[in-house]
Amino acid sequence: MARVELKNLSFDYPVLDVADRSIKLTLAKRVQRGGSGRLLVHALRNINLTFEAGERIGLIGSNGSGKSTLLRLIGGLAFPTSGELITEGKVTTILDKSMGINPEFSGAENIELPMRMMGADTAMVAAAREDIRAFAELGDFFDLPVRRYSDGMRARLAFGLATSMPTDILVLDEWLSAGDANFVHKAETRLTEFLEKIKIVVLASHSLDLLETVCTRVVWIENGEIVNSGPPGAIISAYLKWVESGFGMKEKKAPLVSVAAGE
Amino acid sequence: MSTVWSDYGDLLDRWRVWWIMGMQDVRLRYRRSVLGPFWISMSLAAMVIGISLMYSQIFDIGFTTYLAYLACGFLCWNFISAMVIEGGQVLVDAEQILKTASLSIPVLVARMVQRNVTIFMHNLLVIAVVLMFAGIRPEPALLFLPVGLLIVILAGFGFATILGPLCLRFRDAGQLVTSFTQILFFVTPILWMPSQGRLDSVWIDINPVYHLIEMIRSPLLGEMPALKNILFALGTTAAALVAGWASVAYARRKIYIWL
Repeated sequence: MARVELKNLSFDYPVLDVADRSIKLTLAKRVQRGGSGRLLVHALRNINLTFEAGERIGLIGSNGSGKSTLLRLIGGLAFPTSGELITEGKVTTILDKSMGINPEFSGAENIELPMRMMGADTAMVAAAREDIRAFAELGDFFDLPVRRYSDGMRARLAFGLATSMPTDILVLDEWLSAGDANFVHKAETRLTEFLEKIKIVVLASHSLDLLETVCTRVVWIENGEIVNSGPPGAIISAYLKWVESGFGMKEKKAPLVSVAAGE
Repeated sequence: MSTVWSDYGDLLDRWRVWWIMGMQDVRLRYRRSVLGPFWISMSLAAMVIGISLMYSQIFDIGFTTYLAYLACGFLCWNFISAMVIEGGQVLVDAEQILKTASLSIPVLVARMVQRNVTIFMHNLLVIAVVLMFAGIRPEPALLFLPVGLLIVILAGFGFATILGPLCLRFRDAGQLVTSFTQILFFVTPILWMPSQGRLDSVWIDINPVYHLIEMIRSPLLGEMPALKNILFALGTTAAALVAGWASVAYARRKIYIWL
């Protein structure tokens, strides 16, 4: 069973400046006068979405549209300000290549923590260690500190880790890619096999070709709101038309930032 | 759906995560020293012996008596103060990880406690040698040590669950915690003995760190902690855990916004 449901979900966050981050200044301000206005960013507004098992969801939108925020909400890193988020099934979030890898330790030593963070048991960790050693082709570097790795080697290790733990719901930001030509082919095969085991994939990317081939549905978000959602081909061409027309500069938008009453 | 209960449940469900993180921290800290773990402990022993040579004369207390008292006091103080100061940094230090992975506050606190318990155990071995040199032999009261240690560990956990979110929200709070801890060192009986001063004992009694230190120091020196110490220490621990719970409940949904 895997399902994601977002009901009327909104996410606002305050912009904390230096004074807001100081306990001394905050207390002093309290004594002088009441709380002052603070800028509030409305990152997501009234989002209603349902993802069912088998769906491959692509998120598109210009920079700052709210894609990454939405991924972080689904991944459980951030919590909605209002509305509801229901996830059924195990959620794994891979937002960048860091994965909990500590550059001071070797590749071999960096398998267990990322795997455990994704919820692996001891047998899975042992299997992944052999699997990733073979896949990432690090040779002797596998036992050297990760800070000695080239970018490509680091990416292969991260990619190997990211694709070794099947889950119900996978949340991905941008795409895991890198390496030489030989590796790209190998990576694609591994990724395809891996994704087949995942029930729901939610992927944010600027690579429209990728979204068109991988996804079963594309959700277009702009200014914190859903513009449209539907089959990849139709949504992506509508999006491209909008981008060519200059990002809809003439349209009237709801303000992204407002002044909030003091907390 | 995750709740404050499941955040604390992660301590059991995801114990490997905090365990591995804590062990990695310890390994990194000891990495560049030749003698490994014991280098830091050796410098603790050297400092304790040095201060004892001087202060046993100033206070006119027998050298070995003072040495044993100071060694155990420092051992406990280093442990407790590290959990308070580093407790404020548990979330700040994990900022990068928290931007990309979902880890609950108790897991990150447990990582810090695990790291400091490991360092405490190393220090304890070296201090045990110092105690033998000072002629202190294990007494039955030593059996209280695991209980006392557990009380202190839980208190440290409680402090960190209070301070971690606070120091993430307010970036200057960590410095306040450090300054406050420095003052606490001088008003707590570590260098001096409570029986020694002319200070009204109420100033010692209201100091929770004193009672916590006694949970470990007394059994090491061969005495059971006084009932008063045990009750105050238990009270402090319970209060810290309850306040920490409230802090986690309040902060857990805001952590991402505070990063």
